[in-house]
Amino acid sequence: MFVKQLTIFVENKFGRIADILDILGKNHIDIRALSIADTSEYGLMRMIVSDPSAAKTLLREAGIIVKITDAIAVPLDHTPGGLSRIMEILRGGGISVSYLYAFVGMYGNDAVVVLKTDKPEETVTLLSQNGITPLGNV
Amino acid sequence: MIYNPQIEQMPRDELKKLQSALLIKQVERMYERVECFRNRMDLNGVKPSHIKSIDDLHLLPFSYKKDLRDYYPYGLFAEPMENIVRLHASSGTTGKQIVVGYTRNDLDNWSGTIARSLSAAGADKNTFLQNAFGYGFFTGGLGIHDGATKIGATLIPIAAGNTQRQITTMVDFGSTMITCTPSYAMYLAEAIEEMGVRDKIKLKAGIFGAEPWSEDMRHAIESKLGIKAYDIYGLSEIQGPGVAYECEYQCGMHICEDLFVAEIIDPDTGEVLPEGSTGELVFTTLAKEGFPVIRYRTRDICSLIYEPCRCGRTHIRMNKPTGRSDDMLIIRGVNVFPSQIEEVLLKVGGDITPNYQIIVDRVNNTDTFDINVEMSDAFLHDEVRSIERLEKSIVDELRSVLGIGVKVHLVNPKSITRSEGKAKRVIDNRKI
Ligand SMILES: [Zn+2]
Repeated sequence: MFVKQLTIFVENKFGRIADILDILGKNHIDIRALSIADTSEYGLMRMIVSDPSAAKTLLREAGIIVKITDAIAVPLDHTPGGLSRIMEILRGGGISVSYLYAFVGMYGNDAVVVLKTDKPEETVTLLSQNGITPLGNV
Repeated sequence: MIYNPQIEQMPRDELKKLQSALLIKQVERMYERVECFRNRMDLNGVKPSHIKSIDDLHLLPFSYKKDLRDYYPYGLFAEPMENIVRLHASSGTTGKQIVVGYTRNDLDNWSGTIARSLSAAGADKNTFLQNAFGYGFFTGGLGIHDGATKIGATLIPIAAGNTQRQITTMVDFGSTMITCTPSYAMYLAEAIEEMGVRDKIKLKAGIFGAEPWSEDMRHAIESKLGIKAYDIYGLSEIQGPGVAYECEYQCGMHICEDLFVAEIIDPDTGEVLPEGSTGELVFTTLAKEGFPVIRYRTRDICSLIYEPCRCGRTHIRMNKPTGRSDDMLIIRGVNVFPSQIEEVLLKVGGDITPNYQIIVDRVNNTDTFDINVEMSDAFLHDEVRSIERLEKSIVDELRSVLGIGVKVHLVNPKSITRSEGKAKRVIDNRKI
């Protein structure tokens, strides 16, 4: 019901993101979804990958600070208003979203939204009750 | 002008007699009243009766800044609290502040030394003295304040900060002397230039202290403001400003030797060094009642000048301290120890001290203070706001411990320069 998400600290330094992607690419780790949150001083890279724990080990060995956290991945209907319906459900349940990022083609051709809320367990239950089943790692 | 000729020009043999008599009394008194001192004397097998003159000073045990923390708050006071009329506090080597106390006589002696300092810089009852040192726990503001009142100068207790108001006041009230930190004097000088009011100010002299400054800085302040810039020395553990001050010849600071005895020691061995050597400055307070100290290790590195001064004062002079025998930094006039920063990071980081580096610089005559903290698992979070909250808590905690603002930057692990495997903790780029 949760997906394992990597969070990576990215110092504002030329070529830093390229370095990280290079390590993952060389080791055949597939990136399913990716987002970067940037501040004036540093960035946070969040990603869903094919093998989170292998990725974590590899990045760590390269001196990169990385953490695995749980996120919720929800498939989206290919119909207009798909994401907005999910947001409505969460709002109805009094759940706030900390961040989200969407990706097409994460699982086949469907769109998927990765999100983090203030009440992860409740979010999963609430979505399931509404016929939306969060995805796990594949 | 010499404020107290009888004392300031006392022949040296007479001065020595006075010092001896005061030391004997002080040691007896402290042995009786200050447990920490008594224990150290006993440990060294020294009795008050062994002290027969000022020449026996070297027999006495040292005291340290750490003592003020160990016996916090009043454990080193030599008078009951009912006789203490003032407390001053400053930052210690760790998060905890340190406190010193003064009796009425202590305040009187203190203002006497400030009166000497102000007079030596040319102040008298016709002087309009703009006191731009910080007021409050810091000894600068109130120290100068009482001394100015003693000589009858017209005191303008404006306190530190608010440059616009400083300059307006200087122009409108006709200030002829200013007291503040040297870096603030530079800052003011430039602001005066920018505002184009240099010809409207009447300043003739300034007394600057509480942070290190160089001869170059003195010349810059003097030429920019068209004044004479005098140095003053002091620390709250000894008294505050006025422990030593410059005369019109500006060739080292005369130590108020009737109240404070200076020694220069080797900071590693504790040996007293021969006259004229450079080493750690150590002070003994001869007449302090509330918070007396014997052989207090200031950690300031300097030398003493024994040659008579052309001004006629007989008290020896100390050169400007050139450094420290510990890792203390003076940033914006505030004492900062790396150990204080470590303590905060430890507290915030959940018992792991991350690698950090302090970077100090001086931009537009103001010290900048930045701390790079290496990112670690303990600090990483998938939400930016959580990391920001953590950064803010470090900044807030440091501000409350140190009393000055600091910028914190999270950097990549292993990015802080190391030499011989040890991270270089402090980078001080200031050219003073
Ligand atoms: Zn002199």
